Amino acid sequence: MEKLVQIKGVSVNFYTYEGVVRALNNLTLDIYRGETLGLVGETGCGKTMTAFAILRLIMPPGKIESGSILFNPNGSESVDLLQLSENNIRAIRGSKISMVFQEPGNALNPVYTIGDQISEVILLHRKGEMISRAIADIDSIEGLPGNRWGMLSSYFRRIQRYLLKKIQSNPEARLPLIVQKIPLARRLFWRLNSEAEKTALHMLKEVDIPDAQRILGYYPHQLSGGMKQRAVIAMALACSPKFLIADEPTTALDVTIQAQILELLQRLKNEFNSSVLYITHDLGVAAAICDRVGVMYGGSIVELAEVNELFVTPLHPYTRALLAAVPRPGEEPMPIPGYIPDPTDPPPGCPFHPRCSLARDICRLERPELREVSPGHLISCHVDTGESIDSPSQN
Amino acid sequence: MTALVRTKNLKTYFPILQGIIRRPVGYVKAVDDISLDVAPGQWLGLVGESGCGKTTLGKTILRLIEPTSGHIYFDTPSEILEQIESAEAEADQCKLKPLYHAHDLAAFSGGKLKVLRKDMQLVHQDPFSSLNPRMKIKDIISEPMIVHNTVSGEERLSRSAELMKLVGLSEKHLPRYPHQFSGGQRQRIAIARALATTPKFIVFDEPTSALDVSVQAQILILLKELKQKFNLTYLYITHALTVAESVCDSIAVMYLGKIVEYGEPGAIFKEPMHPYTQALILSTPIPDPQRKRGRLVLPGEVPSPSNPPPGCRFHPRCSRATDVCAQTEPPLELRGQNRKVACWHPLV
Repeated sequence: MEKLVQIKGVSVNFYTYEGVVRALNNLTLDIYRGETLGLVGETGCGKTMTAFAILRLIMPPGKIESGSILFNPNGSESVDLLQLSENNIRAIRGSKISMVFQEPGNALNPVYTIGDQISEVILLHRKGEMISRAIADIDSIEGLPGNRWGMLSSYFRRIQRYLLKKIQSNPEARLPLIVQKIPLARRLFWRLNSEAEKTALHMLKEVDIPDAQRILGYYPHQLSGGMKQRAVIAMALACSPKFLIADEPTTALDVTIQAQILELLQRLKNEFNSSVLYITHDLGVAAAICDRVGVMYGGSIVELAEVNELFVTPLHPYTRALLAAVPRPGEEPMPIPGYIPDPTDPPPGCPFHPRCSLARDICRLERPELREVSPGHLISCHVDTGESIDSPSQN
Repeated sequence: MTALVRTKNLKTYFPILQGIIRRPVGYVKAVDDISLDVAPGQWLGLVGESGCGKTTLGKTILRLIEPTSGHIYFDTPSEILEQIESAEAEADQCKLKPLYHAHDLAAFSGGKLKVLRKDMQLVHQDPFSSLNPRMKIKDIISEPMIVHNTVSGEERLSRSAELMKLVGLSEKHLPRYPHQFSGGQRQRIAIARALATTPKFIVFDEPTSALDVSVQAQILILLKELKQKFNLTYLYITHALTVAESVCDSIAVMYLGKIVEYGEPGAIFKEPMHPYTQALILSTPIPDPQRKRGRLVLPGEVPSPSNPPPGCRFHPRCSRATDVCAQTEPPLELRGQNRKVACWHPLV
C-alpha cells in the first residue's frame, strides 16, 4: 500500500516555566492511503500533539524540534510539511488535510451562522471553482432568449462578470481587491457568496442534517451537540480532503449520537476516498471503526498493529493493562497502578517502567526502539512479552 | 422491602420564565413522577444520556434542588413507611400531615435538614471545579467537620490524615493545594471530603467521566472497598452503561425524566426489555473487533424536556412504536423478579 503521510522522528517540546515538557518524543508513524488509523492513549500522551504537529498548529512555547513529516497527496512527489512556508501550509490546511476538533461548541464561531462558516472554507480553498460557476450563472441569464432584462441590471451584471474574470485571470489583481474593501460596492460579489452557500448546503445534506436550508442560517447555539459536530464535519470535508484528522470527535456526545456520527464518518470516508487519523481515548470506538490502531504513551507509539491483532493479541504491557482497565460486561476492570508520569520530568528509560509489572533493569536505563515483531505489528518494549505474559497465566 | 432512601412520585420542574413580570410560560420536566427505592447497602446505578434528568434526580434526593412535588424518605423505619402508606390509601389528611412533617425530607427545612445532610453526601462530576483552588487539602477535608461540628480542634487534622490514607493518598499531601494533584488524585480528595462526616448514603455524579480508563478502574475499586468497609449505600449516576454494569447491584435507566427500566445489571445486559436500553447497549462500543455486535443506530435526538412527546416519551425514536405508544404513557410495571419496565411492547 501507498503511504500518504510519513512521520519520521518528530519531537515536540514545550518550554514552560516549570521546565521542558516533552510532548512528542521521536514519533515515527506511517499512514496509508484510504485507511483509518486510530491513535489511542490516556490524557497527555501526545495524541492531539501528533495531529497539531502534522498541521503545524503548535504555538509557542511549543516547538517542533526535529524530524520530518512527508505528505504525498497525489502519488507523485511528497512534500515535507515541516519545511513548507507559512503560506504554503495554509493552502494545505483545510483543503488537503483538515481536522475535526473535540469540542464542537468551541470549534464553531458563535457570532457567525453555520452557512457563513462553511462558506468561508469554500471561498478560501475553492475560489476558482466558485468564480467559474458564478460566471457561468451570469452567462446563462444573459443568454436566455426573450429575457427582457433591464438596462441597469444588465450593466451591473457586466461589471460583476468583469470583476470575476479579473480574479480568475489573476487572483492577486488589484481592482477586485479594492472593490471588496468598499462597502456596498463589495455586494457586486454576491454571486460568489451564493455559490459558496449552495455548496455549503450540499455539504450539510451530505452529513445528513435534516432541514439543511434552515440550518444554514442558524447560529451554533441553536444546534444540539450532535448537529454541531455534523456541521464541523461538513466544514472539514468541504474541500474533499485527502487526509482527515478527527480529534476525539465523539467524546462530548452521548452514545446514541456517537453511534450516528461514527457511521457517518465511515460512510463519508469511503465516499470521499480519504484517509482518516482517528484520535480517541475510547478503545471501544477505535475497535469499531479503525483499520490499524497505534497506542501512545509518553509522547511516542508503544504498539501499532492491525485492529484485530491489537485487540486479540496485544503484546505491549501497557496495551494489555489498558485493555484490562476498560469495564466490560461480566468482567471486573483492572486498574493500572500509579499515575501518568509528570511530563516535565519523565522517568529515564522506558516511560512506562514505573507502572509496568514486567520492568527489568534495562527498562530503567534505555528507552526501547520501535521494532517489528510480526508483519505489520510493531512494539517498543525491551521484554519479549510474547512468552513472558502468557506463561504465568498458563501455570 | 426496607429502603434507606425512598422517593415517591417525585417531580422537579424548572419554570421557563418570560416577559417583564417573569411569569412561567412552561416547565422543563427534569424529573417527572419518579418512585425509586434504594435499599441499605445497595449500589444503584442511574444511567441515561445527557439531559435526561439523572443529575437533577440525585440532587433532588439530597434536597440540593427543591422538588416541585412528591416525597422523599431517608432512613425512615419501615413501620412508619407502612403507616404513611396506609394513611395515603385512606387519604386521611389528619393522619398524613404530622407524618409528612416528621418524616418527609421534601418538607424539611433549617436545622432538621442540616442534621440529615451529615448522613448524605455528594461527589461531583468534575474534580477540577469541585475543589476550591484557594484552599489547602486539609481545609477542604476538614470543612464538613467544622460545618457539622463533629470533630473539633487537633483531632480534625488526625482525622483528615486518616481519611487521606483511606482513599489511597498520604498525610504529606495535606498542606498542598488542589492544582498540585492529577485528576484521579483530586477525585480521591473529593471522596475523602464526602466521607468526612461518616455518611450513610453517597450520591456520585459521574465521578469518573473526566478521568482516563486506567484511573477510572482505580476509583471504582476504591469505591468498592469503601462501601464494604463502612457499609455505605451508593447512588451512582453515570452515562456509561458498561461502568454501571461492572460495579452496580442494580441499574435504573432514565429517559427524559422518567425511569424506563430497572433491574439487575446482568439481566439488563443479557435481555434488555425496553427498546431504549437495547439501543444504549448496542451503541456502546466494546474494545473487541471480533465481538462487533449488530450495531443499532437510533434515529433522531433526545426531544426537549420542556415539551416531551405525548404518550411514551421514547416513541418518536422507537422502531416498535404503535398507536398506543403515541397516546398513553406506559406505567413502570413489575415484570419478573426485581425487574421493572415502562413499555407497551417490551422486547422480552
